[in-house]
Amino acid sequence: MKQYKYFIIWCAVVLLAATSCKKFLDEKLTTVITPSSSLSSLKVAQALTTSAYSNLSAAMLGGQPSSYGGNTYDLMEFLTGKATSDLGQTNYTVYQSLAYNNTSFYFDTWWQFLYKGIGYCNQAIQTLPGITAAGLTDSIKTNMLAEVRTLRALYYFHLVRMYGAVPKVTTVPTDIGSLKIPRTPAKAIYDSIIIPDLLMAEKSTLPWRDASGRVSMGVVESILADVYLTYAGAAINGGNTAYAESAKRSLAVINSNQYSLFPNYTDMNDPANKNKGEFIFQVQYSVTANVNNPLTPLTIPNYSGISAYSDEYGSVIPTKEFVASFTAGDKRAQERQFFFTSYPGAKPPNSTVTFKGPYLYKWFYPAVATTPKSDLNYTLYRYADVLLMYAEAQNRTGTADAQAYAGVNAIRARAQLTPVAGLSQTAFEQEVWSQRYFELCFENKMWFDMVRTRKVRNDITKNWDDFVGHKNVFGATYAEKNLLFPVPKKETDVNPNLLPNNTGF
Amino acid sequence: MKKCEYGVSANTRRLLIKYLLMTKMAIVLVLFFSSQSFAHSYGQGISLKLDKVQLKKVLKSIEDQGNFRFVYRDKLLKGSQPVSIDVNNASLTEVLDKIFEHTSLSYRRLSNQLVVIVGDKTTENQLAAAAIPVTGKIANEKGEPLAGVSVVEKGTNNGVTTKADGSFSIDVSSANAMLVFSYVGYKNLEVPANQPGKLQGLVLQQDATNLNEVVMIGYGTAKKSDLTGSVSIVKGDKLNDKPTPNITQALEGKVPGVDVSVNNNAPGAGAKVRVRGLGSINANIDPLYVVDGVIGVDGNTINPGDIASLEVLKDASSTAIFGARGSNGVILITTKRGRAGATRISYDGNVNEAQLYRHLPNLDANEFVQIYNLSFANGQKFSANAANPNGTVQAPPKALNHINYPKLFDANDKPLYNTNWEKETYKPAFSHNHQLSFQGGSEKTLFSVSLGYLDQNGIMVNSAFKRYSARFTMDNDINKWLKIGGAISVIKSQQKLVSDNNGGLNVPRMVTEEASILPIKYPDGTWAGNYDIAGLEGGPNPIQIAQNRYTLNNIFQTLGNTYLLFHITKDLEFKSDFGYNLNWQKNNFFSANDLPHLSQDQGGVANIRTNTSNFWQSENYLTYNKEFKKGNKLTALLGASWQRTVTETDFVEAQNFIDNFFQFNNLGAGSLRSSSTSGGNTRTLNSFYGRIFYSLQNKYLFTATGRYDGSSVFGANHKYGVFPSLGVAWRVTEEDFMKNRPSFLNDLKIRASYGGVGNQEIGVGRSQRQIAAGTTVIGNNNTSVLYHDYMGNADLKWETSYQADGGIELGLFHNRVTLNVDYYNRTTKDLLLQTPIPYSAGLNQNNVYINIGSVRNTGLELNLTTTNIQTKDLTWTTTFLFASNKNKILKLNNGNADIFPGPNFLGETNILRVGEAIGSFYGRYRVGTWSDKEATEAATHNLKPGDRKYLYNADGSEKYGIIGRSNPKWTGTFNSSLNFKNWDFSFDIRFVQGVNTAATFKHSSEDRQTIANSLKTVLNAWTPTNQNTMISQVRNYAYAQDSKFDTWWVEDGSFIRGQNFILGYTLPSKLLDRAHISRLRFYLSVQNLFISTKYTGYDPEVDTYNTGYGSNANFSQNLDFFSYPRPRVWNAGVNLNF
Repeated sequence: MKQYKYFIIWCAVVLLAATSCKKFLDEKLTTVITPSSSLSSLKVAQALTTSAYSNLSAAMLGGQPSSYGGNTYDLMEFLTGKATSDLGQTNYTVYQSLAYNNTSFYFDTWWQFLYKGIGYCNQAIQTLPGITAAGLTDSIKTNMLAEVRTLRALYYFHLVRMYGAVPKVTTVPTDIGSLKIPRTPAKAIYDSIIIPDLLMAEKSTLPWRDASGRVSMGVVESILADVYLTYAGAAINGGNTAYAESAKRSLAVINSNQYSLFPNYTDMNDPANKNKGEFIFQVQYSVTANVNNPLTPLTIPNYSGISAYSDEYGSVIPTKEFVASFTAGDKRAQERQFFFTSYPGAKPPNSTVTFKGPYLYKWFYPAVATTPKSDLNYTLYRYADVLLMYAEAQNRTGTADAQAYAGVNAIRARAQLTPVAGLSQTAFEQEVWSQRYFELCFENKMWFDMVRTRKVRNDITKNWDDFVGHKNVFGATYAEKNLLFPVPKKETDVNPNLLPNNTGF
Repeated sequence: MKKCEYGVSANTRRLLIKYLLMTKMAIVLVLFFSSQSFAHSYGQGISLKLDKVQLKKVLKSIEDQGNFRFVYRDKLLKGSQPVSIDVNNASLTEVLDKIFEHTSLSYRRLSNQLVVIVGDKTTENQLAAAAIPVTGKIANEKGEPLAGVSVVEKGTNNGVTTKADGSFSIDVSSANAMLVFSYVGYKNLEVPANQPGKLQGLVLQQDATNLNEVVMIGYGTAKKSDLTGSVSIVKGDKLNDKPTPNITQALEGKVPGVDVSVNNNAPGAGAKVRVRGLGSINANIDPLYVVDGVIGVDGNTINPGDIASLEVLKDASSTAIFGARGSNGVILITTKRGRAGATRISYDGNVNEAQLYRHLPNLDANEFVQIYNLSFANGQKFSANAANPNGTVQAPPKALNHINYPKLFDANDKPLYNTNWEKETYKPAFSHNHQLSFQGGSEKTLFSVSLGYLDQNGIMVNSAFKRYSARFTMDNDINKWLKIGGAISVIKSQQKLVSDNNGGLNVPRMVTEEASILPIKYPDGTWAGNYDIAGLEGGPNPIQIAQNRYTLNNIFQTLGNTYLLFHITKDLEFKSDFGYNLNWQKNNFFSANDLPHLSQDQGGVANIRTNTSNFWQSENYLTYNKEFKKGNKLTALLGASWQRTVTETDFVEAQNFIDNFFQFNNLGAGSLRSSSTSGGNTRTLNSFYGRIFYSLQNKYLFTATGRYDGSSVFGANHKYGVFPSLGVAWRVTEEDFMKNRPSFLNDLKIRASYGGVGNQEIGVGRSQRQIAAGTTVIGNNNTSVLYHDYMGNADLKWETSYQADGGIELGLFHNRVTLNVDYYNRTTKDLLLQTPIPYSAGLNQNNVYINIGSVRNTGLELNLTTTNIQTKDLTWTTTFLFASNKNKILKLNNGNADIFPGPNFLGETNILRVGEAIGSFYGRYRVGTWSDKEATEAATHNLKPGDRKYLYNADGSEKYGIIGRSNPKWTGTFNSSLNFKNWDFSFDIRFVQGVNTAATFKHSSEDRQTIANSLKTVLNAWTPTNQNTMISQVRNYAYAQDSKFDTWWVEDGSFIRGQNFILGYTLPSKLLDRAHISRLRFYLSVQNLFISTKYTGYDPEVDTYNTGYGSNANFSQNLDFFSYPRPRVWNAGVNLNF
């Protein structure tokens, strides 16, 4: 019966081979880190901190899936009624005509990436304090947390201005059952997250400027100025205290003497000026790193052939009415300042392409004829904005002071407009609004100004209409419901605790 | 005796169940089964007590005990001494050795039951002189000699078996003797022995319905008549009746309940195979392919020419032995193996030509100019708004005339060119395929070698597929108790894919959208393209793309196994099988630096992606086989398995090449190293499985199957799952009361089964919380970041399909009519659902795998085969296959919110909604165009007459709903085979009904104008005099109306296809014998001879989202965004056997 002997030996071999690897079914992941891994070093702390920046681009200039030429940027301009488009796939008519609803796109893309930004910040805020590593001093750690909290505040600041009451999430979720978080009123979000986060960052020792584009004290104070100005505005009605708090921060930026206006508007189109001069905070792009600014091709006229880009979208175009409403002689409305109407064709050379109307030159990259890669950053805060925020906030606390006038007049001077003086509080405020309107146009600021001030400049009458009741050039009339975006249906579907939706949706 | 065995088996069953639940069961098993006492008590013992009895009577007594049958020449036993014997529970060997002790006789076992008794040479010769010698030769219908056929003189035990060349010689006792020939899988044949001429060319008819046919089941075989589950069999020759590069395509229309969609017609492309509907939402639902026991092979890599037979296991009773991987059906593949006798050489080859046979016409040159100019003229109307009520006069960026475009227009502004891009791109393509195989062996060692070569060219210029394959098998009986063997196959293939980039400006899209006023190249030799015309989207022409942008998909695969088979006792075997599959893929991609929209912005792109996958499995199982008296039979199986797959991926890409010369051969030449990534993972499975089959009097059949499976991909809290099933069958016609049944009723079996089978086909790491690493730009440089990526779910476990199956198998009129009907109800619970979580969770992946939700598939399958005519010269059989499936989502996430699974195209395309089928299309309702009379109403929607008209909700928003289904209500195949003398003619006509196909290409080629060429259908667009149309008034692109997935795109996708027509001629054997050729057949065939469909695209069976090798996304079925057209294929082939 020797077969038994061999058979048993063979079985033993098989069993030994198969069971020798202990815990045969344990899953060890090699490409991602599981929370149980112990990671603790200065570089880990830096990587967690830097993650707070990684959704800025996706939120602020986020491509819209399944749309050609659709970008989160587009929404903010279409809604103002001052922009139109060459591309049906941007769905611009839906927004110009204010016919959007909770399934219209862009709303969910904004919501998604702002919350993703918050999620990454939460992970960093939760993990950083526990890391002890060589070289990670308390002050470095405090500054890291200051960076992260500033960005979390910025993400939430966008959220509350867009959607009003939103879920308050400050920790990393671990339990699938507890993800359906109800909404917290906007004021409570300001009071419990946005303002405390920024005030904490204000106490750090961050430098006033950062050449690599990280959060600096200038960024913290600029955002705080914006936050308090908005808090003072119609949505929260924070009153004069908030205006004073806002003015205090913008003045700090001014007095830091770190920032100055560029002499020429086109200095903003020069990649050599990234994170420099007038720029306070920008979303970072880099041809070196092969991460290019997507806004450049989006704003080139559709298939005009003026660039090396295969895709020239013409996604967002200023309306002729808006461009025509600039004060006569305003440099900003002149050719190749903020807008352009013709440009040399990229092929054949030396022919000029004349567009059907004005297009945005503000985001134009002068090297497009030779490269389809834009190296420009996308600006979130620049000094002109801070000067005007100071002027507006300070004016509300009494009468406009010399610094307020100096700021407004510096901006007017660059536009080759005569200085203003001795205006009433209301007249000065409207002058500030006008300068914001012209200076910061197509920088995704106008919509926030419209809902903050509840005023819209009428391009035809040049009056400041009330937001509710204003009729845009496309014939649509703004109503109360337009003050807040609808919470996207995709989100309310998976989190019904968000319902009811904002009024009117 | 009987009672005793029942006791043992009941006891064993209890033990089996108990041990199944123990993780270290295998050790126990080995000890248990190998113990001597067990083997004895379980042995197929012979008990005899005989005193001085004739040898013949002894043998008769042994036969009476029911386990053995003896074959011998009567005369051999005459004159032998009477023997005495007294044994109890002895083995056959012991008994025969004893009774033949003093004779010249010896014996040989042909099978477990059949024993041949022979004498020594002298005796045989002496005998030969005294009898009537008869010789002959037997072959099958194809002229292949049959070895091992039992030849018995009727009414006696006198018998022999045929030799390897099919010849036999037997001495019969009288001139009136009848010979009975029998062989597994063939009908019995009776002929008079006294007609020497006829005996030389005997033919055994194959019996497709033969109930004794042996079929593969997981980890073993079973007689077809013993099956309690739903198993469909496809023989190799039927599978290979048309030229196809892989088995997924070959399976189309062959098996009811197996829905095969050949979605991509690129050479070498795989097909999508779905067994009994869509049983899952996010887990992979490809069936499990098992090749000679190697589990989980990619069905697209195997050479179909190597396949001897293929079985599809469909119900739970059949698939439960594969436990956690069985729920999508199992396809068992048996490759050709060696056979005893003279080495058989066979060659199969075919040459074929593919050609375009359906057309999608676009605007010709004059029409393009006409529509282009009209569109701009209409622009004024559509640019009007509140601020600009009269609109703006629209002019093209550059008018289409000879001043602006001297290369394209003559002095009279007539186009110089009128290019038919379809004709230029889709050219007749020649392919050929060769298969050479050797099968042979001695009694102890069998071997086979097969070599294959396929050179397939696609009708799209520059697309091709080549495959080289070699396979070697060996089986060797080392001694009585040990057999070893194995198989190894090596496959190398290369696919040249030029139709990538769905949604982008790829070759098939540019065929429609390239302006017909352009040539391929200008007289100066430079490429022409839409980019030459101002304002056009600028896609390069299809020929330029096909030549300058492609992927070489290289696959190198080594697949095989080796086994040791121990015959521990006569009834008990242990098999230890080690299988492996080493798969290496390398995809080289190149896109030239002068292709606008594709790679010009990047200055050329080249990348290389490698993917290696190393798989091994160790399968170890005991099989116990015992036949008792009166058709009682037991088969038991118990096994353990370990499997491990390690995969690694690398990807490197460079851009910005100074020249296209380098392609992907020197990534270092690109100035921008745009990407380098790598990844890898390991997954393991550990399983214990068992099966007990019992046949009670051949009337009542029971199969109990169970598998205890553990998988690494599941949560720490749920590593193991149990998958049991039970099948029962009742062979009604075996009942005593059926003895007087009408003579036309030959066979009736009723089957039922129920069980739970799993699906674990999700990615690695879905149960664990994950922090991922990436980069973001800080100060001009990429900087590392760490972020919370995925939620994880430690409770993650299998999804389980609970399937009930009822079947009837009916054989009528001598089995000339056979009918198989199955009804199933398969409910998948605890779906592995990629459940959306609120974005507010702030994770990178805003979903998590949760076991939630449920989906049900119910369906009816029917297989009716009738032999309509059967005469000496003429046989006509028809087969009708029918399958219907109804899919319904019963439950989704908590709250059952709709899920939009994508793929998105201008918004949602598909929806998952409770109560509806998976694969439902979701979109708007187009009802026409607004007429002038409706201008006021149109204005309320911000639209004008000439715009498309949709349905609206009460609140003014556009109405969306479920507007179609991507999976058919029913499918069927009608097959007819006619054999007349040496001619054979057969055809397959396939029916796919109750399904929609979405012509999403209408978005860019019909709904908008002036940035590309359009379909001819825009000639029927809205005009003031043609207001009753679905197509909006043409206008320049800037005023294109919002275009989204709608009812006008979703067309009726039902079709009837002339799948395959074959005409063959087999040369008469008389002619061939001299050349030592046993068979020579020539045939002509045509695939896709016709299609009858209302669909306006190239082909309603399509999915342009799965152009990658082996991609099988669940939801993109029947979405057509410019497909690779299906060719008609004319084919000539030869089958040659020596």
